[in-house]
Amino acid sequence: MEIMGLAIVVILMAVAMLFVVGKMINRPQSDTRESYLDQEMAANMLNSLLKTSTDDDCRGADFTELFQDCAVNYPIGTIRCEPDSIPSCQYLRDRINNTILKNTTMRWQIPHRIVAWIEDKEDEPILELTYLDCSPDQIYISYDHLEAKLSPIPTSIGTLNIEFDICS
Amino acid sequence: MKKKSQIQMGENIAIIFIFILLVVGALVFYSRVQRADFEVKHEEDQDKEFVQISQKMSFLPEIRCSQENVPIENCIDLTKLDKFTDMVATSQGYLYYENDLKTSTITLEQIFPDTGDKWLLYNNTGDKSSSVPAYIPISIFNPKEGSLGEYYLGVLIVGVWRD
Amino acid sequence: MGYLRRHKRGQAEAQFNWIFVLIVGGVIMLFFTAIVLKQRSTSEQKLSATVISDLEAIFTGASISKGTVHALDVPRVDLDFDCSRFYLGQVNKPIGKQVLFAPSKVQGTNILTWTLEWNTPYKVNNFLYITSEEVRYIFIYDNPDSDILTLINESIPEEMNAEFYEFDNDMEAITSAITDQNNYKVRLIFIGEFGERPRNIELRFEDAKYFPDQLSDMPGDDLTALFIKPHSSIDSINNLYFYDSDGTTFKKINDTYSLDHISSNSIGEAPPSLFGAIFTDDAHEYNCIMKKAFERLDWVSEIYLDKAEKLKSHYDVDYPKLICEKNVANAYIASPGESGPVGIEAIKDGADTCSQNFPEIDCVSQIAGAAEALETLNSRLLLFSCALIY
Repeated sequence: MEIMGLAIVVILMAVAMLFVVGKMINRPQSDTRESYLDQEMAANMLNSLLKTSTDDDCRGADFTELFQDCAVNYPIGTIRCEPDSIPSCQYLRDRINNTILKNTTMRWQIPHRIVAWIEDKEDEPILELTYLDCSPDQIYISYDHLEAKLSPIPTSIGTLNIEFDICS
Repeated sequence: MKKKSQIQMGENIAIIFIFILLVVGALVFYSRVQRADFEVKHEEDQDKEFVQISQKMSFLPEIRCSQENVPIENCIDLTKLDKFTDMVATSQGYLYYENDLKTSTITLEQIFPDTGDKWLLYNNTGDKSSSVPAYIPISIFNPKEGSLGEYYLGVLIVGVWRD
Repeated sequence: MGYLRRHKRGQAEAQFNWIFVLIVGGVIMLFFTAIVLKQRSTSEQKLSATVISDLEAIFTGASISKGTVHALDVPRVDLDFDCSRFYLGQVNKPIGKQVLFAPSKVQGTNILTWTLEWNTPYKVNNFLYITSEEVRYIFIYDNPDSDILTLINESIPEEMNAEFYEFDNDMEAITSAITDQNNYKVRLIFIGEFGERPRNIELRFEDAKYFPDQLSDMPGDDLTALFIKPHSSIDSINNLYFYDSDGTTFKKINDTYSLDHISSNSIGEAPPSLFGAIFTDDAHEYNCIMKKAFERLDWVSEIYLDKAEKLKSHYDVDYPKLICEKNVANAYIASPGESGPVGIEAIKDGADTCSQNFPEIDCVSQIAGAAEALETLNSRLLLFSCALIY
C-alpha cells in the first residue's frame, strides 16, 4: 500500500521536474543589451555621420552637404574632394565604405546597410552599401530583426532619404 | 509472527528512507533551479547596469556638447575631454564618478578623420575578470576648427566588467 | 494466559506506534513549515530586490530625459528615501551622486517621476523628483500674479495631486476648509506675505490660523509646510522655511535657500531647486541633496574653466581674433580694479563653498551673480561668431 503511495509521489515529482526543466529551457534570453545597442547603433551612426565634417578634404563641407550635392548632380557631383580632386559621389562611396564602415560596423562584424534615395525613386538609390547581406528582404530568412534609422534631407530636387539599417 | 512484524518494520524503515531520499532529491533540484534563476537574473541585472552606464556616459554634462546651453545629442566636446580625463584620473575624481560609472572601462576613439586619437575616459576593472565591449557611434565636436566648429565621427567603447 | 499477555503487548505496541507516527509526522511537518517560512521570506526579499533594481533603472532613464513626467504603475510599494539611499523593505540601493528629491516616504501604486535641468548658467545636472499620487500638495498664495506662483502653476505636472487656494484676507477660512482626504502625507506651501508684517514673517506661520485643524491627527513629519519668500535683491534666490506639525500649529524646523538661474532664453522655465524644496519634506535632506548639486557644479565648472582657457589660447595664438579672445577672457579673468574671482572662477569657488557649507547666503549669491554675468558674456560670444563657452 505504502509502496503504491510512494510510486504516485515519485511520478508526480518527476512530472513537476519535467515541467520546471522545460520552462527553464524555453525561457527567452535577456536581450536588453542587444536591443539597446542596435537602436543606438542605427540612430547614432547616421546622425553622427551626417554631421561629420570632411575637414580640408572637401573644403570643410560635411557629409550632409556631400549627399545633397551628389543627389542633385547625380551620378558624379560638383564638389571636388582631395586627394585627386574626386567628385562628391565617389568620395562618399569611398570614405563611407572604406574608412568609416570599415573601422566601425565591419570591424565589429555587424550586418548593416546604408542607402540613400530621392523621394519616390526608391528603386534608383544614389548610394547603397550592404554588409553581410543585410536588407529588409533578408528578414525572417537570414535575420530576425532589422533596426532602421531614417534621415530626410532637403534638396532642390526633392527630399533625399538616407537610411541606415542594422540586422540581427 | 515475529518474522512478520520484523518484515513490517523493515518495510516501514525502507519507506521512510526512500521518502527522505525523495525529499533530499527535491531540495537539491529546487536549489539548482534557484541558482539557475539567480544566474539569469544576475545576467539581466548586468545588462541593465550596462545600459545605465552607457546612458549616463552619453549624457554627462561634463563632456557633452551644447550650443547656447541647448544640449546636442550624441556628441562629446573635444575641449572638455582632456580636463575630464585628468579629473577622473585623480583619486577624488575617481571616487566621485565611481558610483555612476561603476566597474567599467570607457574609451573614446576618433574614426573620421582618421587621426588615430584615443582617450581613456574612465577605467575601473574592480578586480573582475571579463568585459564584453560595446561600441556606440558618437560625434566629437571641436569648437576650435572652422568658423562654428567641426564635427568628427567617433566611437564610445563601453566595457562593463563582470566576474 | 499467553493469549492475554500477547493481547496486552499488542495494545502497547499499537499505542507506541501512534506515538511514533505523531512524532515523525510532527517532525516532517515542522521541517516543511520551516522551509515554507524561509522560502516566503526569501521570496519577499527577492521581490523587493527586483522592484528596487527596476526602479533604479527607471530612475536612471528618467533622470536623463529632461522635462518629462512618468507615471509608473507599480505593485503597492513603500519606498523610503534619504539623501544617500532609497529603501524597500530590507533591501536598499545607493542614490550616489544623483540629485533626487522625494518625500521621506513614497507609498502607493502610482509613482510619479519628473526631471528638470538645473543650469547655473550652464547645464549642471538633471534634478529628479519622485512622489506619489497619494501625497497631497496644497498651495496657498496671496497674489495670483506673483512670479513664483506663475512659474510653479505653469510647470507643475498635471499628474500631481496639487490644489491651489487664493488668500482672501481670511487664512483661517482656507485652512479650516482643508478636509482630510486620507492622504498619508500632506504638504502645505505658502507663497506670499498674507498681510503679515515683513519682520520675522517666517515666525507668523506658527500661528494657529495657518494650521489645517482637520489634519491635526497626522504625525508631525507627515503634515509639513514650506514658506517661500523671494530674496530681497537677487531674483534667482528664494528664502525657504520648513515647518513640521505639532498637532495644533506648525513649528519652524529650518531655513535654507533655493537657487535657480533664470535664463533670458528660457522665460517661464520651472525652478528646479525650488521644486526640490516642495518635494522634499525635510530641510536637512534638502540641504544634503543641494550640496550634491553644488558638488557637481564644482566639477562641471572646473571643466568649463579649462575650456575657456583653451579657447582664449586658441584666439590668441592659433586663430587670432581679438574680440573673441577678450570676451572669452572676461569669462574668468578679473578686469583691472576688480577683486576676487569672476565668471566661471567665481561659480566654481561658490560651488566649492556651498558643497560643504550650504545653506550659506554668500556662496549662493556669488554663484547667482556670476551666472548672470556669464550668460551675458556667452551671448556676446555668439554675437561676434566666436566659439561659445557653453
